[in-house]
Amino acid sequence: MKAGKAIYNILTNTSAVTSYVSTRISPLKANNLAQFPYVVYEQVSLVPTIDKDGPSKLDVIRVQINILHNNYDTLSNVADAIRTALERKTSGTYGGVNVQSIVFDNEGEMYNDNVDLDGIYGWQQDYILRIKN
Amino acid sequence: MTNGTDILLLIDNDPIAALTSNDFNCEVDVKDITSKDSAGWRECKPMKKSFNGSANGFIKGVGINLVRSSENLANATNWSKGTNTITSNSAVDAFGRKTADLITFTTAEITQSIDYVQIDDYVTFSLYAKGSGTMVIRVENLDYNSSQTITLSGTLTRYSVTLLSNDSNDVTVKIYKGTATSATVANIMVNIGQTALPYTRSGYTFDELYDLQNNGTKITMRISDQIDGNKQYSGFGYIKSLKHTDPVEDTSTFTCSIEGTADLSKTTI
Repeated sequence: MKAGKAIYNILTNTSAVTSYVSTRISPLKANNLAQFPYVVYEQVSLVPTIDKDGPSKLDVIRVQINILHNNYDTLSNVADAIRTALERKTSGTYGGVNVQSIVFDNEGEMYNDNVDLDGIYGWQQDYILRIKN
Repeated sequence: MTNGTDILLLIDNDPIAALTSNDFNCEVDVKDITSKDSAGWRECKPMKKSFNGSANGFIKGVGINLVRSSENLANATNWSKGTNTITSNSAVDAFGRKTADLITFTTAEITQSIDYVQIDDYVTFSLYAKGSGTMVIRVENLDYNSSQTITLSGTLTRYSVTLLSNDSNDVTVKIYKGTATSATVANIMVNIGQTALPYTRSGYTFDELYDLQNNGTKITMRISDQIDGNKQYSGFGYIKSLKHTDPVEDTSTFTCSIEGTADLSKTTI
C-alpha cells in the first residue's frame, strides 16, 4: 500500500502529530488498543490513470484515517494536526513514494459506546492522494 | 472484437502521447437528385468526400523515455540522419508492431540531442536491432562518452550503453555503422539510470502538437494498430483545434482535432 507508506512517513515526521500519538500510527488496526490517542489508516480505493502508452503512471488513491481517543477535545486537536500535516502537502517523495498531491476530501465524527473501553470518540478523515508510479 | 487501446492516431509515424481515446471520421456530402422520375422516392448522389480525426489524452510531462520519435528515425525534427537512408516501418518491432526502421548506412551518424539530463545522472541508451555485421551505439556529452560496438544477429535483440553524465550539457545519442551496410532498428529508449528500463514509446506532446498547429504544418494522419497485414487509413491534414483542460486536483487533459485535406488512403500495413 503505497499511499499508506507516504501517510505514515508524513505523520511520523510531523511533531505536531507525534506529540499526541507518538508512533501509534498503523495500517488497518491499532497495535495497542489501550493507549490513546491512536491513528489507523486504510486504503479505500485506487483508480489508475489509464492511457494507451502502457501501465498507469499515476494512481489516485483514497485513504481513510481514523483517529480514536477517549477525550473529545484532545481528539479534535489531533485531527486538526493531521489535517495540517497532510492537506496540500508539497509534492515530493515520502517513505519512498512519489506523491504529487494530497487533497483533504471529507471529515466526520463517530462515537463507539464500547463498555470495555468506557466509550471512545472517533474522527474520520478522507484524503485523496495522487501518486506517481 | 478490436480493443480500442491498440488503435492509435499517428502523426507522420509518431503516435500522440498518453492517448485516452481517438476518433476517425470520414464523410461524403450527399446531393438530393430527386426528380419526377423518382417514383416518389428520394434519390441522392455522393459528392465531396472529407475526413477528420481527433485525439484525447493526458497532458504528459517528461516521460520515462527521454528520446523523441522512439519509433521513427525518419522524423527530421528529432533525428539527424545525415546521408543515411531510413526505410520506415520495414519490419516488426520487439512488441509485435510494424514500427522497426531499416537503416542503410553511409559513414554518417544518426543522432539526437537529449534534454532533461542533470549532472551525475546515469543515462542509458537502448534499442533493439538486427542485421549482419556490426554497428555502434554511443551516448556522449561534452567531455564524456560511452559506446558499444554491436555484433548484429538475425534476431531482434536489445542492446544498451550507459554514460555517467558529468557535466550539464545535453547528452547526444548516436547510431552509426561498423561493418554493417544496413540494420533494422526499433524501440529506441533513453532513460535515467544505469540499466535500460522496460521500453515505453514516446509520442507527440501537447507542446509539439501546438508547434504543428502554430506553424501550419501539413501532417500525415494515420489511424493504425501497426500490426502487419491489418488495414490502416492515412491522409494529409492540419491540426484544426487544440484544447488544454486543467481541472482542480485532476489530471490535465488535451483534445486535438485534425482536418484532413485531399484524399484518404486505405492500405495494408
